[in-house]
Amino acid sequence: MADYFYLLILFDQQQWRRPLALKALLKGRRTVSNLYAGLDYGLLSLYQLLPHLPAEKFEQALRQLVEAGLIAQQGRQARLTVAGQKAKVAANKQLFLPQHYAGLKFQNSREFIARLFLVTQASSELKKHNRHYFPLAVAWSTQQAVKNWLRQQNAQTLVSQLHQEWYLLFATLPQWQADYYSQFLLGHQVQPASTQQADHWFAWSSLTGELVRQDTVHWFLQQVTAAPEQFPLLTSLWQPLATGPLGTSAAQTMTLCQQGLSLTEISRQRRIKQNTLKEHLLEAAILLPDFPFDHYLTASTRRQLTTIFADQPLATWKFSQLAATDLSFFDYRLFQIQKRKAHD
Amino acid sequence: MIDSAKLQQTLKQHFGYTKFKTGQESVIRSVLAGQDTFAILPTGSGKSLCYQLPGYLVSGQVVVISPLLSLIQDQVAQLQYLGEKRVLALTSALDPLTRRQSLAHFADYKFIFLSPEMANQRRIQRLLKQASVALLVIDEAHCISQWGIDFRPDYLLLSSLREAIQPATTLAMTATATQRVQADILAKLGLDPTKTRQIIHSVDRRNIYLASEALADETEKKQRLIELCCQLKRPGIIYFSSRQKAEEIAALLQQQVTTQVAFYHGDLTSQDRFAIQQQFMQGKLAIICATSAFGMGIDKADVRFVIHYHLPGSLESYLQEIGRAGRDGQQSIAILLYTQQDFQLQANLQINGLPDATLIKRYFAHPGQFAAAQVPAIELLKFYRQQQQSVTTVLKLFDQRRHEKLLALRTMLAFLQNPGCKRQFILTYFADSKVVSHDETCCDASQPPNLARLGLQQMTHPQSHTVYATWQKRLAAILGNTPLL
Repeated sequence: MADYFYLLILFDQQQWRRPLALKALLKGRRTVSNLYAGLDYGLLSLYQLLPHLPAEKFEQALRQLVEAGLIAQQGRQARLTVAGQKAKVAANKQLFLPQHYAGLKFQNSREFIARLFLVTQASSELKKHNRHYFPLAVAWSTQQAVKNWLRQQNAQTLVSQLHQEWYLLFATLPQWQADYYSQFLLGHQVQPASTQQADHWFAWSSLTGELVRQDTVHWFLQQVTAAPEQFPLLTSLWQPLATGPLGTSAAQTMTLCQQGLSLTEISRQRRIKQNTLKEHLLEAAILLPDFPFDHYLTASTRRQLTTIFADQPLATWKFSQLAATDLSFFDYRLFQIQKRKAHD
Repeated sequence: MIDSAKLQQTLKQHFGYTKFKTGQESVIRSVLAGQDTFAILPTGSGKSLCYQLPGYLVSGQVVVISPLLSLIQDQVAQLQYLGEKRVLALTSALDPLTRRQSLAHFADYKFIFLSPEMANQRRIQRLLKQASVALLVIDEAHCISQWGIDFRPDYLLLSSLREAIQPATTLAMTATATQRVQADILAKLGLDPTKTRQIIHSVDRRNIYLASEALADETEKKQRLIELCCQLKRPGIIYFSSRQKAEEIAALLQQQVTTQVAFYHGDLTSQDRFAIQQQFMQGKLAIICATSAFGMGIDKADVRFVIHYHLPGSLESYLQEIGRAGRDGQQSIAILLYTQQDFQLQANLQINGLPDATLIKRYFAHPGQFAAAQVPAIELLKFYRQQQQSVTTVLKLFDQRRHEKLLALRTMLAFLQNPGCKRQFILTYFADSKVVSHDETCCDASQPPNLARLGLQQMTHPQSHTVYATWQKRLAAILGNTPLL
């Protein structure tokens, strides 16, 4: 089944969805509008699944599916046709689909794996007492983080413990998946495969290969975070990267909010416009399970919004319906997010 | 003057060698004597050592201006391999955090690599001015020259950079510079020819047999390539001017010649590039299908052949690329395959990158309209506008560049059509006074290469079945005690 069938998975027969928002979500473009689309479509977990997805490939796949009569377009939205729905069911059976990927929960997974691979290489060379080797090509900051981390480890037990933790992880995977993923590991006199080579050996397209790799890393992180006592090394490697689902700036705003500062105070302290801070709050409202909606939506605002949108399906709400009121877009969007989450 | 024992000891201690290669010692001595130096050493002669070794014998920093990101990365990797930790690569690939941190610790680095574009940034210049630069190195110095093929405008500012940072010594190095380029390099760097020590060695690499073959069309060319890959002693590199073609031919060779083939080009992720380089260095790959992105910093000694599937844009590029063969001094071969269509293809490639007159006029009339455009042609124009060049000057300049590029290509054509000795043609072009004694190990001027006699024929290659190891085996080899066979 050709790669462009993957795109079917992102669409629905009932709900009209915006291809642009889907593409932005996959690439990890963190705007409230994209995140809300992710929430609304039930696809938030796919955040940042394919950061290097070429725009033209996405658009070409969409065109192919439209031409094949599998997707119908209406303005800037699209949904599956009846034939498209059937094809989606078939694609679900035939294609490799990520089962464990959680783009927001483990948003730094790529950095984690880069560090882990370098740690593994360095440990392997250490075991052989070899100081002359070409370290894996990673960002300078990754190198520094790994150096600092290695300094804190017990050199006597590092290699055997790391061996054991990798073993535990691989053993939880089906043989084919563990075999595939292990081709990228490197160490003393063991070179990694390139992604093209490994995909070729396993007869996968480059897209399938990428999905398998991402899904594998997220599966590893699930194992590590679920049983930290079994994975002490990997836990300490992951911990500094476990930042939660928010972006850095939004997380700072939320911390200050939780300390009881007002938006005006935060704005002054952080030298950030209030509108940007409100975007941070909306991001948090979408992504955090326990966002304090009541704190930001007063009872009267809530009453007004409830009256205006009474019995109207969420998908048909328009901000322009509030033209006669003094309610802001922030109020509107926040209320919409709360309703959407309640609906789930 | 530094004594020989000290030099030998440093060479052994930091690099593990007991002997210098041709030219290295005289360049190092000149630099250590505080003499501005311009060196032309052939490809594969270990130019990097000429600044790496003095780095351990002088007290200040060594700043290396280098034209290519991949070259910088390779050189940094080499130094790290040697155990040197005080290395900084200031490139556009740095993330903002890393950049901030490394600039904060600028003085702690011994070796600093950067592109001319980076060196011309105000913040960096300020740091360089404050630093104590013992040695300023201009690597691949032919790029400085207007007449150099890879000319980049930021190189024009190097003379003022030199003046600003006042290095104790300057070293410019290249493997390919015609006389005109040599003079231009000195002028562009503000180096006085009478006070600069010029160390010029022959660019000739006698152990590389030079051959070319004209073929009727693409199909014939592919067929011939397959034949050559089956017959030639490996490993080898095949150069392409298109990424897509490199991938396509790699797949073809994989089916018909050996599974130990991979492609390499600038579109690969850094991890994939790393993987391919390492496999090639360790002898796990027999053939690499690459664009020119591959090899500037690759120091694999036993490459037996370099084949050009497309025409190089200039004799300089050709010489650089074939120079990756035979670094161990053993007999090797360079074969250029071409069809009539290739000239047009290469001419288009060379010219398309340059802004044409309409674009130049439009840009200078409304620069604001191009603010968001991030294409090389616009970047070039932006640079000249910032340097307050007039539209007329820029029009003239690019017209000249177009002319030079076509001239370079015509030189390539002349090289291929030349009925005489290919080696002599190259040496004459680079104003190298060495006289070639042509024989059957030199080039195909009088007869096609006899691979068997050159010792480059290998009709049977060990069977290679790529069977990947299981995760249990790989893990045991990496962190356990069972080597991977």
